Amino acid sequence: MSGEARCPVDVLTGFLGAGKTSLLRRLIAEGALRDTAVLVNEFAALPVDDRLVAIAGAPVGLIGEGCICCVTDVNLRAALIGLLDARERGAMPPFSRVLIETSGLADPGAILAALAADPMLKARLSAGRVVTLVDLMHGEATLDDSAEAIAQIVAADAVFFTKQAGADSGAAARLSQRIASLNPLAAILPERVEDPFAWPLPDAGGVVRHRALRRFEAAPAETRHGGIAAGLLTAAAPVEWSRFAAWLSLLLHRHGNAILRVKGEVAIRGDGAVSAVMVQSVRHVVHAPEHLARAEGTALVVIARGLAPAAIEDSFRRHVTGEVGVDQQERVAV
Amino acid sequence: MCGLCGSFTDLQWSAVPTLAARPALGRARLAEAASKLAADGGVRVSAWGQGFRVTGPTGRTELVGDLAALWAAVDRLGRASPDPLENAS
Repeated sequence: MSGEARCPVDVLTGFLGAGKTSLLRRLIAEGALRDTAVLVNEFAALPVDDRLVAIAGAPVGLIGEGCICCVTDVNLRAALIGLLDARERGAMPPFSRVLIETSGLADPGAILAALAADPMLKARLSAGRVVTLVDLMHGEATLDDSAEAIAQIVAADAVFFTKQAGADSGAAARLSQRIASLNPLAAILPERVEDPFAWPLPDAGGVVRHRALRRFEAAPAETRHGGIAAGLLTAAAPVEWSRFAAWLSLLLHRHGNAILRVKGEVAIRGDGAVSAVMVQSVRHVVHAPEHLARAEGTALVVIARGLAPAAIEDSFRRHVTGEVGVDQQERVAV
Repeated sequence: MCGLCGSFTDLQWSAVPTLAARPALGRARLAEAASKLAADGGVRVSAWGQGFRVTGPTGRTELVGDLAALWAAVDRLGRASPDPLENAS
C-alpha cells in the first residue's frame, strides 16, 4: 500500500428515522456511489444480501447486526480491513472512497477516533465528511432528550434537513440556530442539495475564520445541552509547533473526555518560514495533521462539555502563544 | 465509552516540514516544551534516543516512546499531575 493515497471515509449519520437509508438508496440508484464501498449497519432496508456484493456499481459490506457506536467494537475495524483486503485481492470492484452509514444511536465521533487511532487503518484511510441528517419534524424534540443526537451534531461537517414538507415553517431556522451553537463548524446544506457528500464545503480554516466567527457573535449565550460550549483559539503570530503539540497533548491527556472536538488551522513558525497544518481531534485522539498550501493564521474551534471555553482560550494563550488579553476572543456557551 | 487512553503520535514533529527532516531537533524542542508544562510537579523531560526521558523530583526516571506515554509518566512521577487549565492568570 505504500505510496497509495489514503482512501477517504465519509460517515452518514442522523437521528432515528431521519431518512438515512432513504438517502442511501437514492444515492445508489442515481449512481452517486459508483466508486464507493458502502458499510451499513443492517441490510434489511437495502436490496442486497449478506455478502460483499455490488449493486448499481456500489460495493456494499456488512458491519454487523448491532450498532457501531463503540470504538472497541471490532466489527467496524474488521469490516474496513476486509474491504481494503478484498480490494487488493481483486475480490471486489475497486473503490476510492468508503461511506459508513451508522445506526441512529451511533456516535460518529467515536468512529472517526477509531480510524485515527488504529495504526493499520490510519495508514490507509483518512477522515472524510460527516453528514448528519436532521428530521425537521422531530429534530427539536430529539435534540432536547437525546445525547446521541447531540453527539451527531457535534461530529458533523455538514447537516442536511429532511422531512421538510411536514415541518412547521420556523423549524429550520430554530434548529439552525441550535446547531450553530453546538457546532460552529457544521455547514447547514441548502434544501436543493441532491448529494450532501458532493456539495462543496468551505475549507475548515475558512469556516473557522468567517462562518464560525459570525455565528459565535450571533449565538445566544445561554447554557443548554449539558454544558456543551464552543470556543475559538486564535493567535496574532505563527506559533511554535512544539509548544502547541505539548500543550494540546497534555490538554487531551487530562481532559480528553470533555473536549469533544478540536478542528482548525495552525500557522507554524519555523526556520524563517511560516507553514500551516489542519489539526483535528476527537476526544483523546488526534488525526494526522494535514499540510495546507497557504498559511492564513491560526484559528481553531474547540467544542467541550463541562469546560469553560474561556479557560481553554486562556490556557492556549499562556502556554502556546504567550499573548495576553481576551478582547479579541469570541466564545459562546450553549 | 471509547476505551482509548490517547493517541498523539501524529502530533509530533513530523507535522512540521523543517523538523521532520531533523527528528532529533524536533524531539529536543518537544521535550523542552513538555518540561515547562511539567515543571510545577518537579518533573523534567529530555529527549532520549527515539523517545523521551522523564525524571521525577526524587530522581526516578522513566523512558517513554511518545507523547501519550510521556504524560502518563509525568503523572506517575510528579508531585502533582499537570493541568493546563489550572493556574489561570
